[in-house]
This record gives sequence, structure tokens and C-alpha cells, in this order.
Amino acid sequence: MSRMLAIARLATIGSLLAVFATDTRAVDAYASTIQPILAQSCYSCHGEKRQKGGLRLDSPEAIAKGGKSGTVLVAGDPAKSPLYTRTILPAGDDDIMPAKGDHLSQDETAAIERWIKAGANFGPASSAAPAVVPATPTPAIAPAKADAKADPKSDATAEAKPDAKPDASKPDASKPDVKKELPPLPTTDLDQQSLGVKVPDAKLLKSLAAMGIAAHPLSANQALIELDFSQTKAALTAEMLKPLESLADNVVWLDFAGAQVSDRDLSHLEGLKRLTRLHLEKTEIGDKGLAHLAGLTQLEYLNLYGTKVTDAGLAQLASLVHLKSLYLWQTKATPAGVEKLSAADPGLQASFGEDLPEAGEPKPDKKKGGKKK
Amino acid sequence: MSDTSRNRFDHAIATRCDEVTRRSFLAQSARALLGVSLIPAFAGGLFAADGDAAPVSAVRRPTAKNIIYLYMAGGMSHIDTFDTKPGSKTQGPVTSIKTSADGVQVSEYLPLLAKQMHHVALVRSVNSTQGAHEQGNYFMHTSYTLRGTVKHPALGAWMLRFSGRTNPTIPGNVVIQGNSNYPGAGYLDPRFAPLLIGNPSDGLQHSAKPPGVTEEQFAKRLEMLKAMNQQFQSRYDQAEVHGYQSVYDEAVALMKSEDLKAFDISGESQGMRDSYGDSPFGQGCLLARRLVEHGVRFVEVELNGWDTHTDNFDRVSDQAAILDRGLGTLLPDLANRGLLEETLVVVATEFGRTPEITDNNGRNHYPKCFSCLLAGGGVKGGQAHGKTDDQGAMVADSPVSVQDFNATIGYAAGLPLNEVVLSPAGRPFTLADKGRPVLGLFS
Amino acid sequence: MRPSIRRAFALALAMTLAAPAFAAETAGRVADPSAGVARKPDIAAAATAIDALVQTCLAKHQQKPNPEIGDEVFLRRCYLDVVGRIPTSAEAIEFAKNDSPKRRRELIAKLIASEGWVSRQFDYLADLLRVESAPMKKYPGDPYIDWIKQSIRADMPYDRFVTALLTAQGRVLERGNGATGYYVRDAGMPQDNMSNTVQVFLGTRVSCAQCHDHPFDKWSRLQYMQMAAFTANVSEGPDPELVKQLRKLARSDGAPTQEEKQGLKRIADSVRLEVRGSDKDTIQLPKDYQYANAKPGQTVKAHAMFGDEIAIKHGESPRAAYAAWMTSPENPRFTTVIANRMWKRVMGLGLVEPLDNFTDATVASDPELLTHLTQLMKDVGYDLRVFEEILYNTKTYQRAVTTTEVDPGEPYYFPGPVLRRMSAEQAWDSLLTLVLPDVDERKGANAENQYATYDDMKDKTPKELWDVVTNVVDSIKKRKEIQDQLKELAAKTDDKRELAKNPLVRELRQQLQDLNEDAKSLGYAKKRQQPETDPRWKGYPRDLVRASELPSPAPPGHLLRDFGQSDRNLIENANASPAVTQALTLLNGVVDQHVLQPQSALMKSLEPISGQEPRIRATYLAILTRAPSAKELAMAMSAGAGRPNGTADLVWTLINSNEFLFVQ
Repeated sequence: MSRMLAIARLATIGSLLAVFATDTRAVDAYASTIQPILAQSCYSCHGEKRQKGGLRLDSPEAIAKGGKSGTVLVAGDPAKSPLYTRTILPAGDDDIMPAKGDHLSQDETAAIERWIKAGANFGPASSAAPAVVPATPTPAIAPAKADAKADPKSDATAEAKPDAKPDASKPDASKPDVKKELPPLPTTDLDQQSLGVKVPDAKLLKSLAAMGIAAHPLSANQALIELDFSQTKAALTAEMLKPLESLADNVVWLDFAGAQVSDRDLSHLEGLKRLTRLHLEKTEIGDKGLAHLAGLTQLEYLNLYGTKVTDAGLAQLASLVHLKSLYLWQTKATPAGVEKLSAADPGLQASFGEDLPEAGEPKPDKKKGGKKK
Repeated sequence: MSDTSRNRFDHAIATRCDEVTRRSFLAQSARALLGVSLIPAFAGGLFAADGDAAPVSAVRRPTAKNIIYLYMAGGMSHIDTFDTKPGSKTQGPVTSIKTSADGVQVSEYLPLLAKQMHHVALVRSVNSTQGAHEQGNYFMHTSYTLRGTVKHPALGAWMLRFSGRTNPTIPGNVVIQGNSNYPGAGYLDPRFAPLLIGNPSDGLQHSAKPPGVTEEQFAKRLEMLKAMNQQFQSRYDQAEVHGYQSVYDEAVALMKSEDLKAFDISGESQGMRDSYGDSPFGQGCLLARRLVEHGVRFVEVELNGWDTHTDNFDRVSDQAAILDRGLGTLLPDLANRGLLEETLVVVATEFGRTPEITDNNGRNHYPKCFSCLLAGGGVKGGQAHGKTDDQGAMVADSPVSVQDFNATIGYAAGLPLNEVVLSPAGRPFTLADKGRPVLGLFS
Repeated sequence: MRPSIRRAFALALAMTLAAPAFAAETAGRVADPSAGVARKPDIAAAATAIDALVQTCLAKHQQKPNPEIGDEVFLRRCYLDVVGRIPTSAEAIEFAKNDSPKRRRELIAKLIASEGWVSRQFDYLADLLRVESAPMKKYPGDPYIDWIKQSIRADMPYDRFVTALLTAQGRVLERGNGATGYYVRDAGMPQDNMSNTVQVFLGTRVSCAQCHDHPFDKWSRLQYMQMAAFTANVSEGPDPELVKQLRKLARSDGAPTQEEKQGLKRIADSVRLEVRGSDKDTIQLPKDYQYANAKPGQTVKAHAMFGDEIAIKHGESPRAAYAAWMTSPENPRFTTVIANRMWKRVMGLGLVEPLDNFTDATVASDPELLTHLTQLMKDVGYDLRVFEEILYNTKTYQRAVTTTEVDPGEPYYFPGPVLRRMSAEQAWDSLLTLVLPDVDERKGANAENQYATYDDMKDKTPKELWDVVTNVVDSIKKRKEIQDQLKELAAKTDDKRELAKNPLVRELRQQLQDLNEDAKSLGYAKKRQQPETDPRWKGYPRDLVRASELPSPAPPGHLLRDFGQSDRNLIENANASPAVTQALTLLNGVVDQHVLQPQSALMKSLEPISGQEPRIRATYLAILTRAPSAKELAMAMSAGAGRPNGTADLVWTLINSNEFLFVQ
């Protein structure tokens, strides 16, 4: 304690401060700077799980031990320490480390260099320890080992090369395998449903694309898709709609927003047994069209805003028991019309649109805010 | 929102509890009907719901087709906006108000948004490692730290890279009032670079042929230009030179688009424009909505001025009023159109601000913990994810790194977070570095 | 610190003491241009020395220099780099007529002495220093802008320029005191200001250390705070005593109205805004100070982060001592950083990249050259004009640009400059060259109005100032009444002409005019742009001035911003990436709106030329600074260029070409 006080007092004396700061940082640099860099960029290949080139970098002892090809750290001499030299090779060099992910930044390599130059101290064992000079500093790593000296010609960089060789024999060595290090993403409901479903014919999708109808895959295996008619600018033709029938297994989302789709056109939708989301907003669709949707029992989302539908049309949708979102803004439909649907489908939310905030309301007062009590 | 519809929303939240049951049912039927067992990646993966013993279940596919990303440049004070600390000495004069989400309070500076919080998932435990503007902004936008050797792409470019455009005739990536050094397409193809709009009220300038120039004349000009540029491009085989070819191709395609009107907000009623507020940011939000309606996948709108080292409370209340009006209108406007379910709305910033109030009545940079938010796009509204301590000084629960936050955005849009893309120098990168999505945010 | 280093520092200190005399001598040279010529270093010899070093470095890496460029390419490049725009046809012809073997050297000398160089230099500094016309949206920025331009014009040596910025104080609107803008830019943020200072002038990033020890560099938070102590006690704002008195006066008249508050704000934020230095050289550590080497809340004394210690002499302000340390030739980074910056400006890439992230481990791609340039910068007395002139005279500069891409992070040994897209400012200014005559001479807004208002009010007592406010507010009220009256009168008739004849309307309009003048004095009414009086530019819109004369930054949506002009939020925030809006503005905007208008400089110059081929040749010369190839000529001929309607197509094509936009 008294030591810390003394240090604090020292700190106010400007001229001594630089000395003090340098010492503290040299001792503490491993925990505060070097170890985080190694953890971020090196542990994935030279850590607990994998030890490429027989090298681990996740403890002072392991770093001191080096790898199959020898020492990686020569205290006081960054130029002889592959731990540093391998990180500063030009981009694209086969030997640059890390082999995957970003190169170390100039800041990071500079920090490693400075740390090695200053003696590569590993500092207090606990990284949580405060930055105080310990009574007896942890000894620095021993200088170059005998086996490194055995061949005086081999510089550290050349020596490190065999490290990469064993890897090169593996088939995937030249390709980055960042992917392997990232845990897989969860499987989605659509991924599950897509199992066993045939992937749509590429030629067919291509011909649709040529007519302005885009297909976007929704499952990992690309079998389930969204078909997007919303960018078609002219009236829909049978040629555009017919393919829906052969894609009945595949289409789960379908978008006609703003398209020139007619009530009759919707008959082509009747076989879409997997359809869950359907956009018909801003179209000329009316009650007659809705009749074609009665069999789409998987439907969860139906957007009818800005269409001609009325309560009479909605009455035909009672079979859609999975429907959750129904958009009816700017239509003649009413909450009463929805009430009947809700009886069979309690999860249904219908939206008739909400008024947007009016200009200038509320006026927040600068000092006290808009809260009124 | 009317009372009846509010009740329905409340009800809907309650019925979502049945989701899990429904999902496991699906999983079982997959096995039963299709005779396949679940794919290995899925069994006992990192994201299994409740430890080893839990039944394996799939998550619902997120539904974001578009992203509207609102960036609060300068560092938004979390304590004075979305993470208030009533009763704490770090709070200063700001009071908290109740919102449409049970148990979620926000600052009194956000009265309109307070009524929309049932759409919003706050993330109060975002933390960054970058405490300076340039670095923090870059990190937030790209998931990678700023370095001299490579320029990383921002989210909009990733989105186009992976899932292409919805509307082939207008750019799929638009940035309104952005930073002049926006990371853009980074090392990706310049085709994915954002279209940069300066003043949203001016829309997209110069998108029509000059008056008096005929179609044939314009075609002839382009023909001559092509011949000129061929020489130059073969002499200088450089990415930036080729980049100009692609932006010219893009520009010419854009001029022919029938959807150019999407850029013109004068097509909206005055009442609509007033609702969004008389600020470039508010009008930018309105433009963003129009663009999304016309199939633009990614729109970013920037609101600058959050760097409140002095007069924090006056300035945050001014800034928040602009945000409140813009976002407080955008959310219901998207919801009315059925677009909110398919549009992920994001509010992000480079860092928060110190709990400690300075002598200048200001707050300084604070990357240790801050607030961002997500709404729509399949995100479960009405929740606050993560917590800070009662001073707003440290993450107390469920930390979310910048990469995790971006992974969550990418996940919402169905983008392949694990797909490796090589930079021209052959370095492998992913959309959100090693970030993992916060799955609890999705419904 | 080791004893040997100590001795070196002592020596450095002695040198620093000698520095003021050296600086004064430099200033004398500049004040007398004829004397300047005599003392100018031997530019050619200095350039040759640089070339030799580049050659050695290339040889060492088994590389060959790029071929030398011809006069056409040199001419265009030189104009773009030195004065920031393409040459006019007349300027190109003038150069072509010069047969002297020294013609390149003469051209460089002529251009670098011109007003165009001042514009270009300003654009550079505006990006570097984040210069804004309205800092914090409320302070006056024009005095700072004026001051920077004036310093460039007067060849203020760079070390003195930086010293003036760092030690600025006093009233912001006092004529000649615009350097105060350096602190106004970061008003209320002394710590950010210090980070920016260190990044800009010492090429070192310390912003991390504002909150914690720098994770990758050696800077500790304590070191940062000690550095910040030099300027932490500088404050920006009006005299607090004045504010107190004004408030008292306002309150004695009842609660001030919104308009009165606005007037008071104008006085505080503009008319009587000042930067106040301090003799204090300490700072209090923040409450969250986390290291054991000092206590939270403890007061620490200012201390240099590296190099020499800063000893504050009796009677000297801490800032003066700190500025002397910063700009000393012995400062280990100051000179190197500016030498490297200037090298990049000329060659397109620094010897050290990035420019502002120097660490102890930084190694230049050509260390000998950087050392040499650093010494050269000292030898020329930090005269950037001379320094640049030497670089432009090197063979290295006058070689072809490298045709392949230079990968970021790869060392580049300068076989020639690198290919660059025009900066936003170069693009705008080049387009204007085709539109306006004498484009470098045309000036935009300056701070004259603000100075005049200030002169009017600088000595007023608080009482007098308050009277000004109430008078102005009264006149605003009257103005409103008159406006209402006018509206009423206008509503009675549809005939605007008849209305204008009505004597009452005339009388009211005159009154309104006078009241407007009153209101303007405190910024209630927008000042109308001064009409163009110079006959050369009659009829050209007032906003067709060079980038350096437009508001900084230009408004969003301006061509400058489309092409990546910095928004001034961050240091060097400009960008030269391709964007669709750039293509659109060149395809459909500026060319037809301005360049192809009959009164444009280009169209006027083409008008008297008869014959299809001569017109095509003249068009190529004006836009691309070269003659068309035989193939190009044939193509243009067959496309009908040079005929009445065909010229527009050719002009359009050449401006839209890659060749126009890239500096070869």
C-alpha cells in the first residue's frame, strides 16, 4: 500500500514520470496488450484446440517452448523472433501469420516488436493485476536456445518455414478455412421444411427472371423460394403465372405488391400449398380474387392494403387458421369483418392503419422535456 | 393505435409462447413425413435452446427483406435516450417515461417513439473497443477495425453481394446524408457501393437527360465515350478506373428506370412530409420508406450532431427530437403498409457517452456500453436485451459486441454469416467477422 | 532516460532557443520578394539530390523508374497539382510556344507563385484542419478561412503557421486574428482538440489514450492528460463578465423575448466571441482515472509526451512553450510528418502510410529519402511553397504514373507518381476553368461584413450592446408590420405592375429595405449576396467560384460533395471513390448546365474558330490538354463534331471520359 502511495506521489513529479511509465508498461505489456492480440489472432490455430506446427501461444510457457521448428521468441531481439517476423511479411506472402483472417495491424505488430525488444516480460501472472512494478519482476524468457544456434546460417524467418510445410500437404491448406472456425447457424423452420423438396429448375427461374420475376432462395438448400412479381411493370400474362403451378412445392413467399395482377390471375395460386406470405397490396384485387386464396391454409401473412377488398371478401378467408398478420389499411374492410375470422384464428392481428404523428406535436420543452403531469 | 388493435397485438405476443411447441412439432413432422433425421449442424449446436437435454428445434426464419439503418453520428448518449437511469446521479436532469412496451422506459426526449416501443427491441449492452469517431464509425459499419491496408465493406454492400437487388433498375444500396468517407463497397465489387444522396428533399439530382438532348444523341454520346474509355482502361488496369465504368453503366441504367420517382419525396402529401419532421433526417426517413417500397434493399440515413461534449442536455434533446419524429413516424408508417415485418429498422451509433457529467455540462465518448435498437424484420418488439449497471457504466448482462450486433442484422436479413469472401489480396473475410447473432431478439 | 539521450535533448533545447531568430529571418525573406529570389535555395540542385536517392532505392529493389513524360502530360499534371485545375487553351499554347530548355522549371515557378496555388493549398489545409464556415453551426468561420488563405499567400512558414494556431487568442472577429478559429473549431472539447493537434502535426494517434492507456502504442493515459494540460485551460466564448451584465440588463427589462435572446446569442457567439489563454498549466485527472501511477481527481502538471521537456519560462504562457516544443526542428516528428505529407501531395503516396499513425516502429519505404526530406524542410525554413517547388522539379515527379495498381500496404519506391482521380476540388475547379475566364481571381464571400459589424460593436459597453439588441428587435417588429401591410395591399389587386406603381407600396418597400439593413447587423435577416461588379464575370452565377471560395464544406448534393469533398467532420475525410451520383452529374448536369452554355469560356473560345477539324482540335486542347490522335480525329469528324450541333457531343464526351477525371 505504502508503495502504491509512493508511486502515486512520484507520478506528479513530471521528470521522473516517463521512466516510471516505461517500466510499468514493459512489465505489464503482456497481459494488457500482447496476450489480447495473440488471443484474437493466433489462438484459433495455436491454442487449446489446434496446435498448427506443434505450436501453442496461449501461455508464457508454451510460447517459450516454441513449435516443431523451434523457438518463436528471442527476448530482446524482434528480428530473430518469428513471433514478430512472421507477422510483418508482405501481404500475400505464403508465410505470413496469421494465415487466416486479418493481418495484424501496424499498431499490433509494433506493440509486439516493442514488447520483445523490451525483454519479452510476461509480467504478473494475473492479467487483472494492477499496473504496478512487482517487487521481483518475473524473469524474461531465456535468450535463444541451443538448437536455434546449432545452425548459425538459418535466420529465424527461414527456420520458421517448415512450420508451414506440414500444413501444405493437407488438401485444404491453401484455402482459408475461417468458416470452420465459425459455429454453424441454427437451422430454420424453412430449412427443415425444405428437406426432400426438389430444387426449382434453374432454366425456369432464368426465364422468369427475364420477365422481371425474381426468385430468392429462402432455405439453405435453395429449394424453398420467394417469387417476386412486384417489379413487373406490365399486366401479368399466363406465361408469367403458369410456372407457379410447377413451383407449387417451392414457393413459400410471393410478392405481387403494386403489380398489375387481376382477380382472375389469383387462380394460379391455388396449388401453392406451402405459401406463408403473400403480398397483394396496392393492386386491383377485390373480393373475387380472395376466393382463390381459401385453400392456402398455411398462409401467415397477407397484405391487402390499398386494394378493393371488403368484409364480404374477408369472409371467404375463414379457412386460413394460421393467418397472423392481415393488412387492411386503405380498404373498405372493417374490424367487424375481421371479428369473424378471429373467432377461428385467435392469433390473427389485423391492421387498419394508425394515424401518423401530426406536425409539431408534441413540442418537447428543452429544459424539462415533454412530460406533463 | 386503436384499443382493439392494441389488444390484438398484446394477444399476439401472448400466443407467441406457443411458438416453441409448434416448432418442435415441425421438427418431428419433418422426421416423420420425410424420413430424414435432422442435419448434424443442428443437433446440439451452439444455439440449442436449453442446454444438451433440450429437444432440438429449428428457429423461425427471419423475415427482413430490407434494412433501414439509421446512424447517429458522433456517439449518442445512451443514458439520455434509451437507457435511462432514474435516481442515479449520472442521470442529470432527464426523466424517464413509460412506453407501449411493458417495463421498458425511455427518456422523456422520445415521446413519439415511446408509443412505438412495442415494435422495438432495444439492445442496451452493445460495447465497442473503439473510442474515437473515425475508428468507432468504421468499426460499427464494417465489423472490422480501421487499418491502412484494406478497406472493408459496409453492410449495404454485403447485402447486395449476397442477395442481389430486388429492383434491377435502381441501386439496391442508398446512403442519405452519409459521412464523406463512408466505407461503401470496401474491397467488394464497386457495383455494390451505395448511391449517396446529399439532401433528401432534392432527391436524386441529374437523373434525367439534359433538356434538348434527344435519345439518339444521348446514345451517340455514350458510344463515343465507350470508345474513348477503352483506350484509357486498357492502359490503366486499375480497380478505380474500372470502377468508373461500372458507375457509368449503373447511372445510365438508372436513368431509364421507371422507379426514379421513388427518389422524389415531393410525391408525398404535405401532411406525410410534416409528420416526418422538417429536418433532413426526417425527410431522409421518408425517402428511405419510399425507396424500400420500390425494392431498394438497404437504405442508411445519418443524423449527425451527437458529439455532445458540451451542453449535453440541450443538445441531446434537440437531436432526440429529430430522431423521435423521424423514427416515431417511420415505424407506424411502415407498419401500416405491412412493410415493418419485412423491413429491419436499425438505430446504431459509434459509442455512448460517459455516465459522468463534465464541468461543461457535457458527456465524453464512452464505448464500454451503449444502446442501439432493432425493429421490424422479424425482430420481437417490446423488449430490452442486455443491461447496464445502475450508473450506465458497465454491461451488467448479456453483452453484445459490435460484431454480434452486425451479425444479428445480417442474420435478420437471411445473409450467410459464415460465408467467406476473399479480398483481392486473397484475405478471407466474413460479413460480421466472428460476431454471432443474438437469437433471442427474434420472434 | 539514458544519459546520451539526455544530452541530445539538451542540445535540442539550445537549438530551440536559437529558432526564433531563424524564423524571423525567414519572415524577412518573404516580406521582400526580390530578396527572396536571391536567398532561394538552388531548386534544381535540391531536386537532383532527391532523384539520386530515389534512384538508389529503386536500384536496391531491382526496379526501374517509369519513363519520362512528354510536355503535354506534364503541362496538364502540373496545372492540376500546383494550381488545382486544368490549364486553359491559352495557357497551354503559351507553354507550347516556350522553347526554352528550362520551360518546365519556369512553368512550375510561375504557377506556384500564383493565386491558384493559394486555392489549392487552402483546399488541402481545409481537409486537414476540418475548416468549417460555421463551426458548431453557430460560430463565425470566415475569419479563420481568411486568415489561412492570407497566411498561405504571405508564405508564412509552416512552423510559424502552426505556432500561430496553437497560441491564438483574443477576439475572433478582430481583423487578422482568424487563427483563433483553430480553437473555435473544437470549442468546449479541449481534449479532442489535443488529440487532433497531435494527429495532424505530429502524425501520432493518441485519441485512445484519452480514456485508457493506448493498447498498441506506448502512450499512457497519464501522458495524454499531461499533454492536454497545456491547452486544457484555454476557453472559448464571450467574456463571462459581459454575459453576466447583459443578462442582468435583459432581466431588468422583464423576461427577454425569443428575439432578444437570439440577439444576445449573436453577441455571445459571434460579435464578442473570444479565445482566452491561461497561465495555468495543470489539469485534473478524471474521476475514473484507473491506473496506479496517479489518483483520480489528482492535479497533474503539463508535460511533453516525447522529445524535449517543455520548460515554461517566467512570464511565458504554457501554450507558447508548448508551441515552441511542437514546432522545434528538434521535435522528433513535427518536421518528418509535414515532409511526408507534402511528398504525398506531390507524388500521390507517402513514404510512410498512413500519414498520421507514426509509432516508434514506423519505417519509411525509403528511410534515407525521408530523412533527407526532413532535413530539406528545415533547410528551406518550413517554406512549403519552396519545398513543393523542389519536389515538382524532380525527375521523379516528371515521370509517367505507374500503370498498375499500387496495393495498399505494399512498399512503393516511386518509379514515378501514382495515378490519382482528381480530388473533388480539382474536378470542380477544372470544370469551372471551362466556364469562366480568370477563374483563380474570382472571389466568393469573405468575412468583411462580420468585421464591419464587429468594428461597430467592439468597444460598446454592455448597456450599449443591449440597446442594439432592443433596437434591432424593434425594427424586426416594424418590419413584420410593414410586411403585413404590403401583403394586404397585394391581396387587393392581381396586377403586379400596378401594385409596384402604388406610391404607398413604394414607400413601404423602401422602409423595409432600411429596416432589413438594421436586422442584418445582428444576423436576423440573411445577407443578400453581393452582386458581381467585375465586368469579367457579369452574367455568371455568383456561386461559380473555385471550391476554396465556396462555403466549407459545400452543401450536401453539391458537385463537390458528390465527388467526395470532406464533410469536415474528421481529419482528412475526403474520398476519391467512384459513385453513381458523380456519373449522373457529369452525364446530365454540369456539362449542359454550364459548360455548353453560349457564354461559357469554352464555347466563346470555340466560336471564332471555323472549320470542323480546327474546332475538334481546339476542343481536345481545352478539355484534355492534348491533340486528338488520328483515329480520334476521324471518329470525331464522322460523328459530326465541330459542326454546329456536333461540338456539344464532343465536349460532353471528353468531359465524361476517364482521361478527364484522372490525373495522369
